[in-house]
Amino acid sequence: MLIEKQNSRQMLLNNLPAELLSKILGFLDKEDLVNICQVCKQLRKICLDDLVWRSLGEPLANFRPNHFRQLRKLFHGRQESISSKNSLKEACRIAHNWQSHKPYDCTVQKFRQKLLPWLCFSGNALFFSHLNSIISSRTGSRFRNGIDFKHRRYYRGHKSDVVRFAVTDSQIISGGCDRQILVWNKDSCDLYQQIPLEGIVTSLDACNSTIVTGIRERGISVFRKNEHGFVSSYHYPMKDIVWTLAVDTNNRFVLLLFGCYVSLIAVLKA
Amino acid sequence: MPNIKLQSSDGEVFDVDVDVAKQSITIKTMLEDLGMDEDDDEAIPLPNVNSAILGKVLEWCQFHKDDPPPPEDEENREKRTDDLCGFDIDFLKVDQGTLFELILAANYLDIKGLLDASCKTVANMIKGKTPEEIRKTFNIKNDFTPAEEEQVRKENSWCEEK
Repeated sequence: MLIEKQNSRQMLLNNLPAELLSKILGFLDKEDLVNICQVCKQLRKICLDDLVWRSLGEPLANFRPNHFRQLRKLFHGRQESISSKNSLKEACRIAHNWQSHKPYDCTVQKFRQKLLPWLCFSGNALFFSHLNSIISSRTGSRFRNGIDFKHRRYYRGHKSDVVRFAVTDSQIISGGCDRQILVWNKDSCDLYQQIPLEGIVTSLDACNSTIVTGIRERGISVFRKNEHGFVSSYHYPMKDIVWTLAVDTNNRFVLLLFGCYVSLIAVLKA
Repeated sequence: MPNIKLQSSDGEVFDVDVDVAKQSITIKTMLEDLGMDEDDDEAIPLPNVNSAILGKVLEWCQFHKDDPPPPEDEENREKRTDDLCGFDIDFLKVDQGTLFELILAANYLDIKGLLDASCKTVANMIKGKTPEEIRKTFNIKNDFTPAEEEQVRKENSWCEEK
């Protein structure tokens, strides 16, 4: 290492090996790091290394060392990539943006799915979809950031990604890419009913007595509850994709729907 | 106090107190592994450090020989850079070439205190500077094309609004 110095009379900053450069940069704040990124290609590359952002990641993006290890594992072998996506730097950037819009704290959760997670609060719990299951975590001021991510309950049964789900007083109802609607008992996580469909669910909402779902290239299906569970009540064929819909919580059986091409809100009455 | 001999890359031999030299984990391990006798006359060769730098390093070790050992926990490393002691600040007021060689030597000899102090000194030279000022300070060539520079500026503009 030191032998090179004979060629250039004085050693320069960028002659230092990358591991020492990232140690130096590890002492900097985010404001200085984004400036360093713009100096030259070599420093930019080193700035994309998670090591540099490690001590910032914790206070800024709530990164704990085990998150860090998990992330390294997840992206092992791809650290060389010039893309800054999914790096700790990116996590810091997102956290910075959140903080400048005033949420006081945040927890970074990593998702590996193409579909965006669907979120829902109900009672003292947060429900969110992740791949083919729905996860619930308790909420309350006694937990870090208000959410108990350590103890989770899983609602499992879908063979493919969960598209949408709804939480009623006693049940979790979800529609997935696997062409079925599943109904779970909210407290026990037991699967209560399985409803096969003709297509992929694009949207879903439910109240205690009714499920309404948009099915890709099929239209809208309505299910009503009787003593055996939910049964098909009627089908409303549509060519448009129903991206989102809502059912009135007073069970007055009113639907609002939003189509892909027509972009209008329609209200249907039974 | 027993002494040991250290030989720099350019052949100069330094006669050093063992406790001073043992702040270098590399030397400490060598002594333990080789089971070197303290009255051994043979000098330990340090082929990666020249005499000028080794002299500086030993000066630092001499001053810090009574320091408590640094904490091991790397993950909770202190990020502050304004906590250098007065001796270190004056000691590291050297030209950049010497400073970087001290970093290399501290890394090779595994002297955590010196490595941290010298890295913090470089970090302090970077703090608060614009990219252009950093280039000037460290004599770094801007190797971005104008288009790349614009892209890099954009992707790093998230920190600007205060």
